[in-house]
Order: sequence, then structure tokens, then C-alpha cells
Amino acid sequence: MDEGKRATPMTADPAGEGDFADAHRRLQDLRERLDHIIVGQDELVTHLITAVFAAGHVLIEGLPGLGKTQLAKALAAALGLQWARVQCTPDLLPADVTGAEIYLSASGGASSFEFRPGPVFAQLVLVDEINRATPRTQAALLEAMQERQVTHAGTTHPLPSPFCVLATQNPIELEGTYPLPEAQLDRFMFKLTVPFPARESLRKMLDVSLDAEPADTLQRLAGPADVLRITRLCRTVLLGERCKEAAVDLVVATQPNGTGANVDDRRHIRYGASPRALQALVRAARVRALMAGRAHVDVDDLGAVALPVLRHRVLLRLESELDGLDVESTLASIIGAWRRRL
Amino acid sequence: MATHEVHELLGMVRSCLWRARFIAAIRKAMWASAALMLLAVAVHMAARRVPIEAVLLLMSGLWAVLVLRAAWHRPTVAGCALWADRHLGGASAFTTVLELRGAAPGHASESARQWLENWVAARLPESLRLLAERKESMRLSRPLLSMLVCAALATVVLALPDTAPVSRQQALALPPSGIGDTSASATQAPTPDKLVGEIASALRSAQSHDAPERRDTGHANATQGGKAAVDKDPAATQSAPRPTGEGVGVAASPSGSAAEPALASGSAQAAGGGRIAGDGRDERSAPGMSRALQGTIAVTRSAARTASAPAEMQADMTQLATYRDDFAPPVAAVAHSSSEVAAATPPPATESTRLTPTEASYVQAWMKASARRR
Repeated sequence: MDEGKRATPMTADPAGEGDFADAHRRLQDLRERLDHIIVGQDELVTHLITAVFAAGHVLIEGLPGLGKTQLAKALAAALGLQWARVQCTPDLLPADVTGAEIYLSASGGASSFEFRPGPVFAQLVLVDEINRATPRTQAALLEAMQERQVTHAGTTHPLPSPFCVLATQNPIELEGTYPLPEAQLDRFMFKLTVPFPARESLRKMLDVSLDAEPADTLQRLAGPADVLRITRLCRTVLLGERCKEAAVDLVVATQPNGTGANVDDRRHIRYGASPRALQALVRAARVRALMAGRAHVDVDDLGAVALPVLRHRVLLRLESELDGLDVESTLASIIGAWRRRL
Repeated sequence: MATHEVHELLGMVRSCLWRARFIAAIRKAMWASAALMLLAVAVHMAARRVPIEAVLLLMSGLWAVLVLRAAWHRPTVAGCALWADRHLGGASAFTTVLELRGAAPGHASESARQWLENWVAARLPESLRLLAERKESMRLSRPLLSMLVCAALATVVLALPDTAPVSRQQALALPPSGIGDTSASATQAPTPDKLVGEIASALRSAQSHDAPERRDTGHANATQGGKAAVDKDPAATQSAPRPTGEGVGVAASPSGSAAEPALASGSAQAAGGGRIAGDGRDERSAPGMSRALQGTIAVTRSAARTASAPAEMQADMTQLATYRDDFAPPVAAVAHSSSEVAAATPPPATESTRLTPTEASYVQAWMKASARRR
């Protein structure tokens, strides 16, 4: 089922005025708590919370040792979510991810096959180095991400809710890897990059997480029900015509033959953002608005999530890449021009 | 509910926007007026007379159109809300509020609507404060200054009589001005070429005043002989023929022509003798004549004089050949050479060539005076 179809109409889930205040407070608390644990990655934490409450999946790209696994564990612990980890290797099979039927023999001589769910049936799944899995395994995982269900031997098994996949990949050591196809990259709401922390953050990290894992002792701030409630509440955040037009303008500006961006930026683009990117943009902006204590979306919310939403959905021409141009700078130019037109 | 406050804010924003629009219209009208006045000045100067009343009428129409256009386009409520969102920290709240008020009741979540109303109500004081503190620069000084400068220029120029067509007609009707054509030049302003011509003629006249003195000098040199020329111009003595030494007679001495700085160019000058030294005018500083042309003219004159020179003057050229050591004249010429050698010697002084005591005293007095002057 498409994510856009799952989004309920704004009038379908009437919420009280206190719900907005409570959701805002919980989101603020969660962000502050995670900022104390994952030191120096404030923006990463904010984007991750945004993706979880927007019912999206996140692809995290960063070097080893920057705290990606720690962040996933802390998020699961703070939200009280059941979490699982999959370390992808080339010999990982789809059944290792989605689950498999095993033969059970009862004491009375009766035997049967029973479906044993894989790690994808957790509420928060950390898929480490997803680009090291074979395309077959990747396809099984990404199908589960999109459909939120697993069909095995003719039986459909729905995935739990909330369901969020945090996949990581290493930007170096690409030998023996299977880069994700563009169609599968589009399933991720955000692609986040983990920057190296600043010097002050490194110094503070020694005080926080030198001898113990702070995620293990993190106090639970909410439960899965709260996550679902806030997710539904985010869908009632108001979206004015100005913001709708701005979101459409931004997605159109990424098209090679679109309007809005200047010609110099457009000529580098081979493929632009998809309509699914537009949906992800607005849903993420709604969560950002709620985190800011508003029940309406501003164009600044769209601009704040534009880069992680569009980063993995825009492809540059080969000539431009050979010239040393990257997606980040091109998108930064497009988003800057889009902001100036607002 | 903050409905009243929101409308109050939007009303203030509207007045602010309207005022800014009027200011922009005035600014545009000022620039257009300045351009119009410059155009009128240009037309007045180049083509035809432009009445001031027409310029004023055009400017009035321009101002009326721009101001009425600004007054006619009243800022809309949506435009005011959008402006408030952009500049007063509205965060798209004011436009969203207006959209929700115009939408159906079940369009949005009631709690979200209520939360939005509360947010707007909490934001209103800050927005009002920002609006009150907002100081839009009018930026009228430059267009106003330009308009005033152009107005002053137009007032001065348009008040002048229409001279451009007359001068153009004169330029078309008058033939090319020649020498002595003073009727047209009296009414026209002197052109740079004309000024240069006048200056050149003045310089020539000044040189012509100096010319008799130079002629006198040349004549004195010629009459005093090569000694005087050697004393005054040692450089000239280097180019002078060596046989003309001390006590050489006046008529036969070529050193007088060699000492003349204006005609120091080879044997042709030597053939010219002292006659040329005081006769030619120094035209090296004359404008419009190159040095090469001067040399050509001098040579031509020398050649002409050589052709028309008497036989005793031609003998000097032959005399030059007698000083060549390797010269071997033909036998026929050797038989005739005795008379030529006799002819090459300086002619004896006669009573007619000698200066009278009066003339000699005059020349000596003049030489002393010229020496003192130098």
C-alpha cells in the first residue's frame, strides 16, 4: 500500500487541542534526550525523529564509528520500540531477513511447518551495511519496507506498527558491494549523512559515553501507542496553499526540464525527484511544524527537510559528475534559489 | 478569538503596503520626469523648439497615471497576509488562517484550527511590534535630485532661443568658407581648425618680422666672409669646404652657405653660395610642412639656381676637383686647365665689392649689437 494512501484525511482523526501540546512536548523531550546521548549530531537526531514520526524509513550514510548503531538503539529505547539488527553480508538470504518456515515435530507424531518471523518484524530495524547484501535480499527487505507486510508461502504476515527501517551504508570500501538501485532508494524518506563531530562534541563524548552505553540506561519517554498517536496527529497539521505551491515548485525545480531552478543547475540533472518525494516532503514538514509547536506548515519546514528528502532522489549527468559536481551542491543551489523566490 | 486582531494587523499591513506602493509610484514618476525633461532638452537642442508648456503637460499626465495606478491597485487581504508571513514572522500562519476562514467547516481538523488560532493570537503582539519598528527607506533622494537637476537644465535650455535650426540652415546654405570670407565666419563660432589656422598665420607673420633680421645676418655673414661664419657656428665649419680659409673673398666663398643652418645639405648648398644663406626663410617650425618636403624644396631651389648661375659660379665646382689628390684630368682638359685654375682663384676685390666705410661701420655696429643680444 502506498504511503500516500495510508495517510488519513485530516478530518478523520479529530484530536484535542491538548494533543498538539502533548505531542509537541514529547517531541521536544525526545530530541533533547537523544541530543545528550548522541553528542554533536543534533541535526541528525532531529531528522531521525522526523522520519520516525512521519512513518518513513531512513538511509544513513557515514563512516564507521560515528554512532549510527548507538543512535538506533537509543531511539528504540526512548520510544519503547522493539528493535532488531541485521548485519548484511553477501551470503545473507531473504529468508534471513523476512523469516522462514521451519519444520516442527510434535511429541504425538504430528508435525507441521511454522513461520518464524525474521528481524524485519521488529518495530525498529537497523540494517547495517545494506549495500553489502545481494540484490535479492535487498529487494525482499525493501518490499517489506514498502508494503509493510511479508508474504510467505501464500500467507501474508503484516509487519508491526510503528515500523521503521534504519539502513546504513558505508561510503568507502565499495568493493564487493551492491549499490541500491534508484527505485529502491526512493523507498527511503530520508538519506542522512553523518558528519564527523566537532572538537567540542568529541570532548563532551568522553564524559557521556566512555565507560557505559548511555542507550542501555535511557529512560523510556513514550511507547508505540504514543508514536502512532503522534504520527496520526502529524497528519492533521494544516498545510496552506502557499506551502503546497512551494512544495510543488521545489520538486518541479529538480526536474531537468522543469521550471524554477536556473538553467545552469538544471542542465546537470539527469533524473529529478519523484512524486513520492513530494509526499515525503510534506509529511516530513508536518512533523517539523509540530516539533516547532505549530499546527500549520511553514515554508521553512519544507526547506528544512528538502535536502534529506531530495538527496538520494536526484541523479546528475555523468558529465557533471566527471566535472566534480555533486548532488549536494546542486541541490543546495536549487533550494537556495527556491527559497529566494518564496 | 484573534479575528479582530488579525484584521487589525492586516489593515495596518495594507496601509503600509499601499504607502510603499505610492512611494514607488512617486519614485518612478520622478525618474520618468527626469528622463522626459532630458528628452525635451535633447529635442530642443537637436531638432526643433520644444515649448515648456508641452513638457509640463506631459509630466502632469505621467504623474497622474502613475499615482492613479498605485491608488487603483489596492493590496488584497491575501497579499497582506503573505507579506505578514514573510516579514512579520508569520510562518505562513496568516495565509493559512485566511484560507481556513474561507473554507468549508469540515475541511480541517478543528483542534488544528484552534491550535492555529491560538498560535496566531500569541504571535500578533510580536508581529505588531515588528510592523511598528519597520522603517522602510523611501529612497526618494536620488530621483528627486535627478529630477531637480534635469528641471534646472530643461528650464535653462528650453528658455534659450531656437538656434539649432538656424545654424543648421546656415550650414546648409553657405558655401565652403574661403580666404577672405568673413561674413559667415563673423556669425559662426570659430572652429578648432580655424583657430589653428589663425595661430599658424600669426606665427608666420611673427617669423616674417624676424626674417629681415635673419636676412641681414646672412648677408652680413656673406659679406664678412667665412671667418665670421666660423666664429659663430663651429658646427657649420665642419661641414664647410676646407679650401675656403682665411681671407677668402666674398663672392667665391661657399662657407656662407654652409654656415646657414636652414640649408646645410651638401654640395647643392655649396653651389648656392652665400646668396642662399640670407635669402631663405627658416620654415622648419611652419605647421603643415614636413622636413622631407623642406629638403626637397631647398634642393629644387638650389638646382634651379645652379642652372641659372653664371659661368664664374660654375667654376667653383671645378675648383673642388683640383683639391683631389687622385684626380687626373684628361689631356684635353689639362691644356685648358690653366685658364680654369686662374678662374678658380678668388676674384680680386674691386671697388664695387668693397664696402664703403659707412657700410662697414654699419655692419660692425650691427654685429656688436647682435652679439650683445645673444
